[in-house]
Amino acid sequence: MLKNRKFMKKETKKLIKKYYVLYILLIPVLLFYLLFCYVPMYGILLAFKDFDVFKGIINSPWADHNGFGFFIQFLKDEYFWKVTRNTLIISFYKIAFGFPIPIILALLMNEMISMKFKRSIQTVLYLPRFISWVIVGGLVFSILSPNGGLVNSILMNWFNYEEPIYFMINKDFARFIVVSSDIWKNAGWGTIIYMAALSGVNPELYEAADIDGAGRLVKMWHISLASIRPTIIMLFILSLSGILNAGFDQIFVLYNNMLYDKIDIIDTYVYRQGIVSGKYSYATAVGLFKSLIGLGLIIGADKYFKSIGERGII
Amino acid sequence: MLGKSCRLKKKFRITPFKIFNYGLFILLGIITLYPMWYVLMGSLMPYHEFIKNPIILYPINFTFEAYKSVFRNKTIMPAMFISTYTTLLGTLLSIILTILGAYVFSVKKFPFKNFLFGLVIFTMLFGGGVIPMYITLGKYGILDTPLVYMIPGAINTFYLIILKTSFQQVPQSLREAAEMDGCGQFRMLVQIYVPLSLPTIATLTLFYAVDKWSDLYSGIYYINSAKYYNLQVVLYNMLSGNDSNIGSIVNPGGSTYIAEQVQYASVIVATVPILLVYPFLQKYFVKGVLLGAIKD
Repeated sequence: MLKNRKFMKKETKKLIKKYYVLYILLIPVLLFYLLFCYVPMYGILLAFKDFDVFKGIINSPWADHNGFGFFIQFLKDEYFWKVTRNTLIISFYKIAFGFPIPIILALLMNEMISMKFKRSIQTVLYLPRFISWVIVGGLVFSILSPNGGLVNSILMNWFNYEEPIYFMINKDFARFIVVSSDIWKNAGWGTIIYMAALSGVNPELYEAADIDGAGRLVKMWHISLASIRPTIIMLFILSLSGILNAGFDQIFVLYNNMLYDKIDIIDTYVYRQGIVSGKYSYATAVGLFKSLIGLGLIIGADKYFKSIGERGII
Repeated sequence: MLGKSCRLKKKFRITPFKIFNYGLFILLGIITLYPMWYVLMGSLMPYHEFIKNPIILYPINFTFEAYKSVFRNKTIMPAMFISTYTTLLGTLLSIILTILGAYVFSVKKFPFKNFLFGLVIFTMLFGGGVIPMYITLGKYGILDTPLVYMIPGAINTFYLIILKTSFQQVPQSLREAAEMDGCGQFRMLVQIYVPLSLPTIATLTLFYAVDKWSDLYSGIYYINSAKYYNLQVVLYNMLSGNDSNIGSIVNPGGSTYIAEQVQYASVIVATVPILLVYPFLQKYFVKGVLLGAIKD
């Protein structure tokens, strides 16, 4: 046994010597992860300290209630629960509508015979993925503008509305605008991974189904959909685990204080508490709470899907 | 022979489903493109003409006034400069680091590989959060400098894994043969792996460039000085009416609505660089990148 271990050690040393260049190549990469992923983790301590900029993280005194003062503070805060609710509602709508649409589009696109048309439509539908939320926000603002924006000018010219609707300061439209602009931006790109999966399906399966006299719907359901099932589940786990990320950039661009009631989310709240108001400890505590729940969700969803015999992601 | 021609006929028959399918995608295409077209038209026409009719297929009374204001503007041009060079340098840094990491982790087996790769993967599941990051960057002294656009997000772990998968497709026998000939690890990367994975590298380069060009987050979190704002922050300030400089945009003799037109023009100016590179790389997407992503 001992001899064996010694032998292993010798072997390892030999391998390290053989591959030493790999470790050198890896240095900048590891340095990045260390400096910008692992060092900030120590800042999590902030959540448990009453942070004083001049004393630094280590020397700041512990927060009340054995360090959990800020957690108790936000858990008792009604506004925290409001942004949590908004986050969950927006994510729910985004998943409920935004998740199935790319699957349906990919299945329909897969039925197209003309390669030229298919490719051009893909080029068009992928495009919004490459446009920033600020730009998409600019498009949304101009289309919904009360001063002659597209929608208002249609309403007023064709439907005889007397007054324009002020969409961007109207609470009733806020969530609808957030969810639909998200679908506009992401649904087309969302098809790409399903299209890649569908391109790997063996064409003999369709031919065999043809011989059996299967119709189009039967083939779509039993062959196409069935073969992209692992991909669907993988992406579903990912979107479930991101349920507390309702999309910082998007909300930040589209919201204003008249819409906080409906679309202020955890991330924007953390930004305003932490960066704008300088309540670092409080904001860190909220952020930590959020990432722990996110971690729990991804592990839970993965376990659940593995338990029912799917592949999972971790 | 007969069977084949029958099938061919079937292929080209017009069915209600086909009409529905093609019609649907044409409609979706219009929904995707029209907003951009609409803003383009808005930037090229006098405002009073523009708001008369919601459906505009071509510009009436063509004018470049809005674009002239954009290019004369004292906030937009410096921001454009910042965005351009942070995108170029940042993308270069990102792709180099990603190639290095992906290559090392694509090597089948070496001591501590699983531990080191585990460290990388763990960052996808859990992180310190935004405020600790902010404090840490402050400690490093790069807060409120253009470096925040390039360094903190230098590696996207998801992209690294995509490239690693692509490197793993390179036949193992090629590596063994090269090793036999005394080819070092670095030369192997540069002369074998990079050329063979060029489509994936090209696609990821585009992704990084787009991410950096579109970066609003770093600007609003880490930048205080207006002189370091990138294009996205300046555009955001313009759109949300936070721009104290908007007065300099509004043409004194022009109509009151020219500010909106300048917004349209700025939106177009910020989109053009992406539209220029996008079509060239689009063909790689399906082939190069995502097959790898699925297999992982």
